[in-house]
Amino acid sequence: MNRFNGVLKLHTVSPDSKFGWMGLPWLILFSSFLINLILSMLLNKDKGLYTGGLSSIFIYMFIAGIIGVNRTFPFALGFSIRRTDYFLGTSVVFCLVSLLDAVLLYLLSFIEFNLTDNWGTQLHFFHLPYISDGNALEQVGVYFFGMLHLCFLAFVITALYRRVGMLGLYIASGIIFAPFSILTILATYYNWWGDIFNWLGQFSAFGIVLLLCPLTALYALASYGLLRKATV
Amino acid sequence: MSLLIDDSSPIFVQIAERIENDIIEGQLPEETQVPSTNQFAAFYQINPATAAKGVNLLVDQGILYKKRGIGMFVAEGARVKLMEKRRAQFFEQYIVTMVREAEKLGITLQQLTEMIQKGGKA
Amino acid sequence: MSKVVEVTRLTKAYKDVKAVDEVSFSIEEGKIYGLLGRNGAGKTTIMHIISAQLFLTGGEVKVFGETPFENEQVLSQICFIKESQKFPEIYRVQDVMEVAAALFPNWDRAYAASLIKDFNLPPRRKIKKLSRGMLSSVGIIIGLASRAPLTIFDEPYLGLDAVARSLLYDRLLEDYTEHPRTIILSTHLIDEVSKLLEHVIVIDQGKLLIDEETETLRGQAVTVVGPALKVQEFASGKKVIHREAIGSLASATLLGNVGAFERKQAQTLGLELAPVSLQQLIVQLTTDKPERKVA
Repeated sequence: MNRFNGVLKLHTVSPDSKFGWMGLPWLILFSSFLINLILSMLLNKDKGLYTGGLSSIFIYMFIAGIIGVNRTFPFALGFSIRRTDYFLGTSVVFCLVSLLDAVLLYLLSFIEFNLTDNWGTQLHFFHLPYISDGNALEQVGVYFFGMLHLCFLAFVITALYRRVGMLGLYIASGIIFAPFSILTILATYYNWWGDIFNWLGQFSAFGIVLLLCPLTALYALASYGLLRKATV
Repeated sequence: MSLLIDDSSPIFVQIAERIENDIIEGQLPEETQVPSTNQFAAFYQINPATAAKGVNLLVDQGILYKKRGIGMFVAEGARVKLMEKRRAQFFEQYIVTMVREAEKLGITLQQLTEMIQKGGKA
Repeated sequence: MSKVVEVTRLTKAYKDVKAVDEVSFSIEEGKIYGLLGRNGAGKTTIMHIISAQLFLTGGEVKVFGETPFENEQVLSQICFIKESQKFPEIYRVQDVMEVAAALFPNWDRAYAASLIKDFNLPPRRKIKKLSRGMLSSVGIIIGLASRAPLTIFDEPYLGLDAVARSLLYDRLLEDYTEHPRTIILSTHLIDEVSKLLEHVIVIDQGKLLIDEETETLRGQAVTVVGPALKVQEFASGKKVIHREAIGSLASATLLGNVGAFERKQAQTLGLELAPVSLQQLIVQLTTDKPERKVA
């Protein structure tokens, strides 16, 4: 375990990689925010502008996860790092970044809702209904577990790629999405959507992300298993 | 990248021969210290174990001896021993070859002897 | 002398091709080994398996007495520098060094710094902007400064000019002398490096061909040149590994010790004896060339 911090260093040592984990996602988020802010200034002030721009940072974290793992795994193996240590170290990086992002997002949401009265322009960017419904801890939790889920999804996809290559990835996604597609078609045909949404509706946002946790854990386990079989 | 070591024979043999040459030519008098194996290795860019093999060859033959903690020294009587060895080799290496070559070129023994005398003076 | 690496009937098979075929050898502590052979012979595969980056399909590998896979005890003592090392492109030279410092327990910062100066590496330049030679220098510096008890270099000097290569050999010897460790050097430039090697292992088409002390191998072959018939006469009964002919002249490379008696015999026959370098020897043993006739 003594090379664990080496893996942390691996992900964060270069200024460019630090930028990739923290700088760029926030840059993207703030660009989205600015655009929406300007829009909200120009639009009708009565209704308020509710926007999904917040999702940009989540999407970008997903991409950062893929890039980060793909770039560092062969490097790590080449330096004779154990796959176990790589997995643990990378997981810790994901947790730390997700936590940091979650706390910052909560703070911005607090500023938006509680301090600046929606930036004076009725912009609802960080503080959104349903998502921001819980108490402070729950709100941070929503961001944290949501982001963690995406990070590990990125991890397992990249691990799969490293294990089975591009072709394998196509085949695997085909195999996984086939049942989903079928279920979706059936759901539409039998009108299950109403029931599904009703069932989901009983959960708060925090509840939903908690439901995602087992899935996140599954991704993590799968990533570990795949990495153990991956070669450089 | 030293051109002093070639492919003609094992390197350790060539190292030993170098040291022998230095002893015969008087550059390494008796009881003087010989460079360490690491120094040889660094100079010729060869493996230290190989250098050591060459030095040990001479130790086995009584040409060099080891002073504990200090290094390798030229043994007493080393030069004499080497001269004897070289003299024995001289006949095979030079005389036989020369006579054979002379035969090939049709030089008579008389002419050969004259040449030798001339050669010595040049 | 303890065995740092023990390879027993190692096999790596891909569907119907055997990249490595029942290779067995062992590497003893504190020596410099050469792992030689043509491209695709299987040497790189073997090194990847030793460092747990590839999985074997048959046989066994033990490093420091244990299997290397996911074994921290073993893996933290290995430094494998290869020609195709995948450094993250956006990382700078000093970033890579920082990571290496955190990963190799015996890393020597001062030594690494002095090597960076020796090889003229710009520390703040990104990997993607480095020339082939500079990239090789990064690998070499890491390999040397890691002071890993088992250090493996796979073609470490691609793109390095002769001066830089000489610098590499100097530094390698220097460090090896002061801080002995087990080193495996895999290379094409056999002659240049052969003086550094204590022991030579040659792999040909996935199989072990030679496993011998360098000095024993040296002088084990000789090339005989002269009139074709005389060469034939001299070579009969001996192991011939290479022949060439030009006009009525022929040459044959013979394997085996050529003693004083044979030398005299050659002289009598009017044949010339020429030494065979280690590189020539290995090239001729690993190439299936039909007899060549020139002009």
